Amino acid sequence: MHGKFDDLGRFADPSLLILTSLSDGPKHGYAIMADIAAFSGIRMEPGTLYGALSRLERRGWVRPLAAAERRRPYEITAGGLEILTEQISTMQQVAQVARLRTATAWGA
Amino acid sequence: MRPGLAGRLSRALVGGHPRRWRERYGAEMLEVLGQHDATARTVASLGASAVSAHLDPGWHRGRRLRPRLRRAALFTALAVSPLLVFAAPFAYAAWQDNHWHAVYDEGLLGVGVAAHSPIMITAFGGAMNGQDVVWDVRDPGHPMHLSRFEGGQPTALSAGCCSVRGTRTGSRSPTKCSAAAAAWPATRWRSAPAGAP
Repeated sequence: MHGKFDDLGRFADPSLLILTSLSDGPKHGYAIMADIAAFSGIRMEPGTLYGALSRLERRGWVRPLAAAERRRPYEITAGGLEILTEQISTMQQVAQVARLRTATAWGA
Repeated sequence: MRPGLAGRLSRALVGGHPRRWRERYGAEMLEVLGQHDATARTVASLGASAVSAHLDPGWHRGRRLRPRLRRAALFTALAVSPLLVFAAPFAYAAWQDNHWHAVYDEGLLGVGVAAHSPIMITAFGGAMNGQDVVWDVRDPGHPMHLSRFEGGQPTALSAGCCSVRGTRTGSRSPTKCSAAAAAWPATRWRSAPAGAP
């Protein structure tokens, strides 16, 4: 199963987490990290965050907004929302198949 | 790793990113680090980020460097080409000096060959500006230039030895006035006072 996230390599997961975090509104760097920690329990480090943010920005999936002092918020773009929806759909399909197969395997 | 040390290392690593990356994200990242409890993982992630950014052609200065390199190469080619054009005749002449070439401007006056020795002396030019050239003719097809004497005097050749008087030129260590004793297999050159026999 190949998707547009594939060429992001090991950054696929941070990219998905960041897009998910931005899907309910713009956030700056530290707020993204705090949000991801809150909804997934994953502590994302600044190096990982900005590495993924720069790639997402280059692809046009997030866009920087005007900085307030040294904090610059980011928002998800229409392209980013589309790719996130597509990825979620794929994940749901994988999860559904996995659920069915594990249920059969374990006789549930 | 102590938090203070991790914080300092993290801030230092922000500075280790490419310049264009720092201009874009440096201030933001320092702001985030100010709110973040840095650990060894923070340092590791920033180190990986810096390496990744340096490998990324989008951030690397190579994008700007490439046109500069092209310009530098073009400039070098333009600057060196005339030098090559002017230097080529001199280089060719130097090459000729070290190889057999019988055509001199004023003609060949004489050739002396030492019996039982691979030494040959050729005399060119007139009495005032004559040249005696000593050759190693072990391989007659490719004589090797040994030395040249400006204003060379008549040479003396004997079995396995030759002598030349004149001002030795075309050598790494020319002597103003030399006597040459070229004896096979060794060729020796000795300085001699001007006017010595």
